[in-house]
Amino acid sequence: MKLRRTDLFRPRIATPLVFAVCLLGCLVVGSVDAQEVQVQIVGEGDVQFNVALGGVMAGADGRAETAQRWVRGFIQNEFNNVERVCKPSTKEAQALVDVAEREWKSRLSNTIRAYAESQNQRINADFESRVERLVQIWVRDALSDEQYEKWEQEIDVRLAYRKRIVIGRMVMDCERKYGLTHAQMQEVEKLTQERWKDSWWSMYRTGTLPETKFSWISKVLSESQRTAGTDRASQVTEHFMGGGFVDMPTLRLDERFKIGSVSSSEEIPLEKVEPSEPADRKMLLFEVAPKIFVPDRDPRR
Amino acid sequence: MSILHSFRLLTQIPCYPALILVVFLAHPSTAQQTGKIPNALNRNQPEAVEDPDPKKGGDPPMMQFEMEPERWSEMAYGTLGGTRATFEQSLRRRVRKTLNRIEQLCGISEDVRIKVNATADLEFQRLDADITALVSEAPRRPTQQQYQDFYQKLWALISPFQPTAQWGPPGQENRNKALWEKVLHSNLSEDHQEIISNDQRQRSEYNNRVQRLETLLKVSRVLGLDSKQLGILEKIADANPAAWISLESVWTTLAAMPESQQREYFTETQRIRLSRPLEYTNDLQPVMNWNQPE
Repeated sequence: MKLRRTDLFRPRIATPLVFAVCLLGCLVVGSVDAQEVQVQIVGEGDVQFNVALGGVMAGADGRAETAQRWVRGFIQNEFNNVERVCKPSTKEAQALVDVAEREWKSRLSNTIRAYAESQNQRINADFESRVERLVQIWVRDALSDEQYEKWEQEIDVRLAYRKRIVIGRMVMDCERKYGLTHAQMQEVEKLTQERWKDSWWSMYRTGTLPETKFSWISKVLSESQRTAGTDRASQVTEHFMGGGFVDMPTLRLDERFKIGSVSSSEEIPLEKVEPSEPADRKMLLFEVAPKIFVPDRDPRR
Repeated sequence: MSILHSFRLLTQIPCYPALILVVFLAHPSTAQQTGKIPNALNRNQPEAVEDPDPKKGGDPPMMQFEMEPERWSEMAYGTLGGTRATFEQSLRRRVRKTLNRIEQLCGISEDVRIKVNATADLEFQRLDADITALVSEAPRRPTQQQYQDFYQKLWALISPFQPTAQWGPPGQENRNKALWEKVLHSNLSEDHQEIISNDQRQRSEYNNRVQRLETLLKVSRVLGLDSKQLGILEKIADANPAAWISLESVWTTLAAMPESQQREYFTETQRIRLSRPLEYTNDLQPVMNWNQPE
């Protein structure tokens, strides 16, 4: 059956259609307080409305800037350590800071975007590991083999600390789960170390404790502990807590990377930082009108 | 013409204005604006709100709803980590794990095991009966003072069952032991009790050490410590474990360190960073619930 334009006005079709439009209207009116509305003058007499959904896109620029500051802070911290550990010459240091200044944004864009567009406003990007791997590549390319070896040793020490923490937490989880003694905890630690994967650290940093498989440690458990081990309800709980202090270093976007007294070359442009409104700024629709900027000069002239 | 035609057709539908009205009223934004759930959709029975009598001069009630005994009961079990059923389950699990650990450390007879399990069962039943009896006398519309007084009574009842950090410093458990724990310890010899106590201390130390290391790595992340500094600060952390519980506490401790000491451990850049406060975020941060045994 072919529909004609006039069929749209028949009650059977028009009623649900109008009903749906009304429903949509109500939803828009109701959810406007969760939206961020920006109004700016783009030309003489032209007003551009830029509506973005709050919680999803609101403050994405602000979050991107925060992520960029953190990423740059991590890079700068790494360079401070490179200076102490590898002792690069002025030329090597210059090469290193220049390559970092040119490439940091494009090489870490995924990490920055992951944080900026995080829909549930979580710190769920592992900035530290990403930066660490990238700086390792830059150091390998810019410095001598001997210096790179020293740097690798430095990274290994850090990895050892991370391994101790994640495995420690896994052992603590087992202690809670199975009621282990201290001697058993040490045995479980050894068995878990044998199965270590570097990816566990990233998992842990983003809020998930790697699972200690029952089969890995069952030989350490007594018969009664094995039976208790089948109780799935005794597992560790992980959750996200709102707010608090962050363990992130920071470097402004208009501040250059440095190794000792060597800064990145002046010809590499830096981002201009404009003061922006806080990321969680929200505005109601009726607040739009007073915010419209009216230019002094007469637009008709 | 077509628009006019369509409007004419639409106005002929008798249910259309009613539909718009219902949708408008049902929408949460409308409810928020008026501050009420629309009467047409409100399934809750209106509660009788008794205004405090100003002539009596008493304090106003703390809340605008009645605290039914069930609500007090839910609050009591909520403090113990969930509902009545989850508390019963977790209590059994805790008893079982404790017995399994002791069995592993120094052995435990089947008689003691049965006795402790039976005590825990009876204790749960008694607690449940006590809570039911107490909440039946609870004030329905308590003032702030009445609420506090009653909560104290409730707390006295439930505190022995409150889960505390298993690996906190030994001897710092500020709670009365549950009856099943007392029965268990009375059935253990002094030698066995010492073995168990030593094991608890070692487990506690293991867990605290992991926590200290984690705080150390957080500090390292902000300041950019190298491997040598990590080694030095780990020793400092082991010497003063209380300060290394959280990033905030250790930041305050390190910032308050004498300048000569700071120069010994940190570079100039790190010292400047240390003099500034930590960055704050409103974002959600991952937390693992390891400090609360079930």
